[in-house]
Amino acid sequence: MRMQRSWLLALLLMLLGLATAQSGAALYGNNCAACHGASGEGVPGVFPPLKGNPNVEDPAYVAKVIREGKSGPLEVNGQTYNGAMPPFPQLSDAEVEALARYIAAGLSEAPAPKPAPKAAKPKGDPVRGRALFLGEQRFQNGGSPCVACHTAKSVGALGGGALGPDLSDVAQRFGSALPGVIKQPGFKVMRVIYRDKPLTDQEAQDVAAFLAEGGSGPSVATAGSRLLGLGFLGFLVLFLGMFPFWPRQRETYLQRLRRRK
Amino acid sequence: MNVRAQMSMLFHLDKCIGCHTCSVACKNLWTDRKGTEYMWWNNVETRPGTGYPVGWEDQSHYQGGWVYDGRGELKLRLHSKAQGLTRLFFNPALPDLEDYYEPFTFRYGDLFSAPAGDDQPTAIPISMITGEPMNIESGPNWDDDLGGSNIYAKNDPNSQDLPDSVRAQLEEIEGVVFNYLPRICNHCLNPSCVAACPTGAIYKRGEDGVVLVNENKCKAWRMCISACPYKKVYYNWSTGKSEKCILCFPRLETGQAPACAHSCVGRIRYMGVLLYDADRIPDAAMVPDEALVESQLDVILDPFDPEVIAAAKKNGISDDWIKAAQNSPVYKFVKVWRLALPLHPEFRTMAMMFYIPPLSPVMGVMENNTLNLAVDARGPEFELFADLSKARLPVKYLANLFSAGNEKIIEDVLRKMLAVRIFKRAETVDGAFTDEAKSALSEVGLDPETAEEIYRLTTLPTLEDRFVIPPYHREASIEAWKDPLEHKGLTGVGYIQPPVRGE
Repeated sequence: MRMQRSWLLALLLMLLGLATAQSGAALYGNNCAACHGASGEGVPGVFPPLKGNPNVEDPAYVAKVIREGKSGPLEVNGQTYNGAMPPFPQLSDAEVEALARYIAAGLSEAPAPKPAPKAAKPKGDPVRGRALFLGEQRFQNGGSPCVACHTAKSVGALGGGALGPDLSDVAQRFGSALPGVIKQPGFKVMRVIYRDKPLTDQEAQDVAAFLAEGGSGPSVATAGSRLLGLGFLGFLVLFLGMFPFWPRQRETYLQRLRRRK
Repeated sequence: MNVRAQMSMLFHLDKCIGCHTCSVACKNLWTDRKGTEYMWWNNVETRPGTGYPVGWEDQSHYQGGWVYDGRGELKLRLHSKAQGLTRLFFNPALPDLEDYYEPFTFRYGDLFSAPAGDDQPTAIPISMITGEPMNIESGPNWDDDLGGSNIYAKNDPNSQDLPDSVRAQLEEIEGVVFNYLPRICNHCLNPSCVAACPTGAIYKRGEDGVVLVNENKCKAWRMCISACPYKKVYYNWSTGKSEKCILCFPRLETGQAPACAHSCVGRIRYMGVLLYDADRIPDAAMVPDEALVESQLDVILDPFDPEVIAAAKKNGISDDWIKAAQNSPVYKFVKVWRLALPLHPEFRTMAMMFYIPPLSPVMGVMENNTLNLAVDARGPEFELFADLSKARLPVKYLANLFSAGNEKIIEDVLRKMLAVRIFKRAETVDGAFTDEAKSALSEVGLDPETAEEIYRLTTLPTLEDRFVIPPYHREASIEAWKDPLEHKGLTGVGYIQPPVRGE
């Protein structure tokens, strides 16, 4: 039953994909812009640019990368990259073709970057961003708070989660693209987590503002050892409190007789 | 007057040979199940000794029984109600498994499956709990026949207040003496296990005073185990419920004596009904130690007294139960002849199993390589039992066991038994009621007829004399509610509703 339903869902999605076969520019905006930038400028050292990149002039190569993903060292225009791009199996063949053509052509079809986000881009509130990051305030659509997986500076003495990477210097890495990355993350795990519970524009701005603020705090490693140390201290206090009573209780009557003998 | 009936057992310790048949009969019938391996609802201890579990009488360690504060209040030694609440999840006074013993068996299969070799295969001891090979270091009668004198007999809580010279003499090889003490649950009138149970799972049932654990209610707090001064409530680690001696009530209800009494080789056990006044219990339990035996015997009523009979009938005790109380051998020994005493009355639970203390021969001393017996030359010819002050089992020791230290009570009992012995010896050896016998009897206030009766019930009782079990009319009470055929064969065999942990 469950199996059938998921098949049905997949079929529906496929039909929907065909029905709304989008232009290369729209596809780019939905799938690539989060990492590679709205105009294909990339993030130096993190995400390679797609504009002015000689590697992408071959549409077949681009299509291959979109289908299979790409990881490992890569050199573009003298800059070295060592990241990972996930495959995009959700795109249909027609969409991949369209996208590859669009990118290989140097994002030529690209309309001028949408003016809407730029105009509507409000300034983030770092205080609210911190509350959202720590989960003190809930995301409007119910997404998990960032701290569940990530840590950043000034999140508190014990640090945040250690599942995802440390976000202390994420603002430097992404710069102004950060709110977009937060809102439409291209990372495999985050994409799944926030697919149904996306952040609002304002929330993304706030969190980005908080992350950009920096601040001082322990790194993930220090926070972990601090937690361990506190736990050990608590154990020691409990054990010392227990110690004066423990040995007397454990002696049975028979042991007492044998000792007194 | 609130008259109730109690099924009581009496142990004539002079006749116990320490064969453990009672223990084995009980074990086979009731505690041969998973989780009950270490339990001995009936056990036989060698005295002096520390018994089973080790040192159970030492209430400074086990915290059982009641304490009388001298101002009209009886308190559990274990804890007050408030303390009980704080210790609900940790009861510090529980006996350890080591205090009982780790139950063991032997790997008999090795005898058959061992590969051929030059030596005989042996069955090695294995733990009945873990199944692993183990070293046997103690058992329920480890100090049997003084097998463990150096540790166990020496540390008997009852001999701690004896003079050092007497204790030294007890440990000398020529002075060594022991007797046996069979023990079951005492089905007390003022049971501390019942008082300590936080869930109210233990009760003393109305018709015959048997103290029972309701396994459907038991929540395994185990307060009964530490509160019982006789350590006769046990914890079944498999079902997570407390279990104890049930006085073989399914047997009693079908007219048979309990298995331990029925199988007794020395015929030391007697069963009978005692009528008692429940209203007098609080007052009787709150008197100084020396007066405890007397006050407890006062609670037991005369079943021939018309007032008692009328009150008993008013309380729903039927005619055949009153008749059984009148014929009860326990009533005769305890109340009429005053020969039997409760075990450790100072625990103030008012134990309802009674013991006739044992006589012991006079002390012998090695002098010039001959054993010189301290025989009174003036007494009856070579009377080994005549001089109580020189008895091998010190009177003080017996008093600590049976009369809360009151030696006068023990002396009276032993003197009476001695008088009967002298009387019967004169009759069979001299063929006459001699002057010595006459003076011995009159000294303790016995007439020849009573002495003859004591002698007969002691040495020549029939099964019907020893066990006077009233009809329980269980069939009538079942018929009132259920079709008896529906319940045929269910009484006392296995569980009607198996106990489940946590329920």
